Amino acid sequence: MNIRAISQHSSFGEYPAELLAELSEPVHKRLIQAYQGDDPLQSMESELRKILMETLKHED
Amino acid sequence: MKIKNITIQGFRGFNNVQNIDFHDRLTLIYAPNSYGKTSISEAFEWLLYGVTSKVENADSKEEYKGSYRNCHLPESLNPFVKVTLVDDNKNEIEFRGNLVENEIIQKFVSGNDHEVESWPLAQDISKVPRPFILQHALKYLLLVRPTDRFQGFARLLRLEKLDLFQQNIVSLCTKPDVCIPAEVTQLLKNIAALEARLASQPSLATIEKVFKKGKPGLVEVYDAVASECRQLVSPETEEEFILPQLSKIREDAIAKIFKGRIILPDYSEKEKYDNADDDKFFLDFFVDPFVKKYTGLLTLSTVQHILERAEFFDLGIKLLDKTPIKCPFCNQSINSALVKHIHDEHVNLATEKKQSEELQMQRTEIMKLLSELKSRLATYQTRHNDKASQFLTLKTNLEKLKTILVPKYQTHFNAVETAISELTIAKNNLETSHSRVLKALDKVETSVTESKEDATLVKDLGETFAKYISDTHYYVQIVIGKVSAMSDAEQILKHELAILAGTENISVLIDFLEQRHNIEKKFEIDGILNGLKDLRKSVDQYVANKVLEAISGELTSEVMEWYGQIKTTGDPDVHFDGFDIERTKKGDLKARRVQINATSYGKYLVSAVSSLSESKLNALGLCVSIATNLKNDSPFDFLIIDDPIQSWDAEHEIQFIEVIRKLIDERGKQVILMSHNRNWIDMVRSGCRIINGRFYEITGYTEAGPQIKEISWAKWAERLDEVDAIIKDQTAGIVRLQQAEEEIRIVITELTSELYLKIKKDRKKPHNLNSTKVRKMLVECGTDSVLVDQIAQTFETTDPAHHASENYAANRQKIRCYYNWAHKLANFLKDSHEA
Repeated sequence: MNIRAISQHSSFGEYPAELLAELSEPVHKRLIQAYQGDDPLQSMESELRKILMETLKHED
Repeated sequence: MKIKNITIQGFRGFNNVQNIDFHDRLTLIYAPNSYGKTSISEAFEWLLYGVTSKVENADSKEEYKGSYRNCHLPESLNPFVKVTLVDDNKNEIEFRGNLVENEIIQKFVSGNDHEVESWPLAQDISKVPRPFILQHALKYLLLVRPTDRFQGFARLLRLEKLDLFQQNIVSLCTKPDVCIPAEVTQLLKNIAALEARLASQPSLATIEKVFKKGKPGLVEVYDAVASECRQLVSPETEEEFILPQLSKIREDAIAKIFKGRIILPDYSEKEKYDNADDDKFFLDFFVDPFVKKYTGLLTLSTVQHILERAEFFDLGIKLLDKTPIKCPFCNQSINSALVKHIHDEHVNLATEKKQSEELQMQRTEIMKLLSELKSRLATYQTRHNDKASQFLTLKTNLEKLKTILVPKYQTHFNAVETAISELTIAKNNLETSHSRVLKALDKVETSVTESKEDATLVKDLGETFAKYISDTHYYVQIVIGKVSAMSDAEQILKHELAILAGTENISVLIDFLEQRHNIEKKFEIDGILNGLKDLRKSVDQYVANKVLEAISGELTSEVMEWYGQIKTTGDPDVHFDGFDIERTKKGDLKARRVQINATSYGKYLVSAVSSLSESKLNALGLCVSIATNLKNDSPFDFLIIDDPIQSWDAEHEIQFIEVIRKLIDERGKQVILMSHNRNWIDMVRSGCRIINGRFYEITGYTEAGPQIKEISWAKWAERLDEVDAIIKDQTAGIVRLQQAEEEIRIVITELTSELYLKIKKDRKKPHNLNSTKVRKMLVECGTDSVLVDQIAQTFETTDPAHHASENYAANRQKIRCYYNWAHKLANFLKDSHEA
């Protein structure tokens, strides 16, 4: 591993795409995609809340 | 980029403005503890990053608040730090940071008045390690728990965002409760209660067993439920009638014991939306258009009698037209002026008459608005009134309910009793307010229909409405607050009634049939919430792998290479053996745990941190910092190393001098080294004699700041001895001879500076002197003209910056002459007398 390359990636910006490729569960992908903005934790929490409500309201 | 100099005023330990020039390869700063040497590195750090790592890593930022400004700096002055940087092409750029209110830095570049947002550097310096090696930072990197070490490495390798990402994922996955909406919580709670009831029925053990399988067992659950149900109804019962029949069996049995249910439904999403919409409508109604229109009516109604007068006048005018100079009623003579007056009055009245037509239109509109309000109010009232109606019928059955629930469920019974009491009051208030609103509305309607508009009626309506809305909100608040507790009580009641009636198994089966949809939802939601553990695991592995990639491989090799430099031959063979991430027994990487490996005589040590001495850990920390600094694309070619040799023995101290030389000679770094250890600093100076760097000693500290004195890198006699040795060494090549020449010139500038101080009482920095300045100073000091010419000749082979020309050819004989003339100058200095 080239340490120089690591330093170039050190902004988080490029990581989610790499991680998303490793995830297969759609819910997990949605949560990771929600990781953005000034308060990414809150953004993920809102997304989880949304997912749970969608599951509750979803009619088969 | 290298640092040429720094100027500091009023920052940390510095008060009066002070300037320090740096050598482009090695500068040493010695100072006893607390003399302000760390303030120099902090000034650099603050200027470049806007914050020092000490403040950044502090547990309590509050503790460091206001610590940048020197407390002795006069209020009229602002603290600042100014640095001149030099790039590879010798271009200079000046960065100046002014410390202003709230610890904010204002940045200016090369004397420009316009503040800049960031320093104009080719690379983003927030993404590469800082060029500072600070002891307190190293301590937090190694002598800490593995999780803190992980964080330390993340910071050092500028992987903070990745670290924060993982922390956020951990927070989300371990505490998802905060994200579960109330409706979902209620559903989970209801199904959990049903599951508990199922577990209490031994006859339904088969269902319980498959229910535990979760979503994959759902089909089996309902096969088992169907099978149990079949046993309880008559054999010929068709599928669709099984549930009604079960319900009937249960209701018949229960009705013998108790009639009634504890049902207090929550407001649905639609009802909540309608409530909000109605509230807005009511509020808007009283602001506009109703009040405006009603007030308009009050104005217009005064026109009503004008209308009547106008009609009367109209008749008068018609008659007057027939008898222009006589009054049509009394036949009295009237003059033309009076006739004109009557005609003018008539015109005015005709205009007012037109306005009166609007009055009727307004009345119609107001009646329409009032009708709409009434209709909306009726729906609103019904929605709220009905909510608790069924629940409040329990009031008549409370005594019976008590015998069923108390004493086992006293709390639940009390909750029901309180809810009934509070809701009864709230509902009564609501109904009273509602009837008052209706009465007030009727009065307003009547006033319009009877053309007796009155502002006080609208005021009364507004007030009664406000009270009604307030009572409604209070009522809604009570309903919402009691829903969950009443739902729990209902579950318990159902359970107890089923036990008393011997139908609990039937109840459980009915609930399973009725709640199939909710059970499916529960399994889906469980799947999502449990799946968060897998997400966390995936992220843990991902982040651990990223950090492992960063700390193993090249970084480990590089650290080991530098560590090998410090290692002494007499060392016991207990050594650092690389970095790793701790692993589970299965071999998975553990989350956030950086491990230091070590060996002892070839054998792997379980606990490296406890086995490596503090000095070895200290050395390791230094090597990690050096390696990360060298391996990253930093725009800075300097390293500021603050007190690196704490707790080392003499042999390790000497080994580290070799590291410094390598950083300078092989890696092209400009090193600024600070230490409180004078002996070691002298050893560094001797070990790096040939570099001819700069050496500063902080000799004291006062309110004005540190007293910084530049000390000669080497004594002139030692330098001349070395020159003599080089001249005599017939194997010495051009580089060595050139070095000898340069040593002579350094001796000459230092001697000239000393002579000038002695004679003229003025200190000139030797490293700023060149041929012209030396000549001038020697003349001013009364030096013999022959010697002045000879001394000037020693600079002939160099440019003003002491660099040899491209066609330079070493000449031993000439260097010997320079050597002799330097001695002559030394003797002149010795014999000279103060002016």
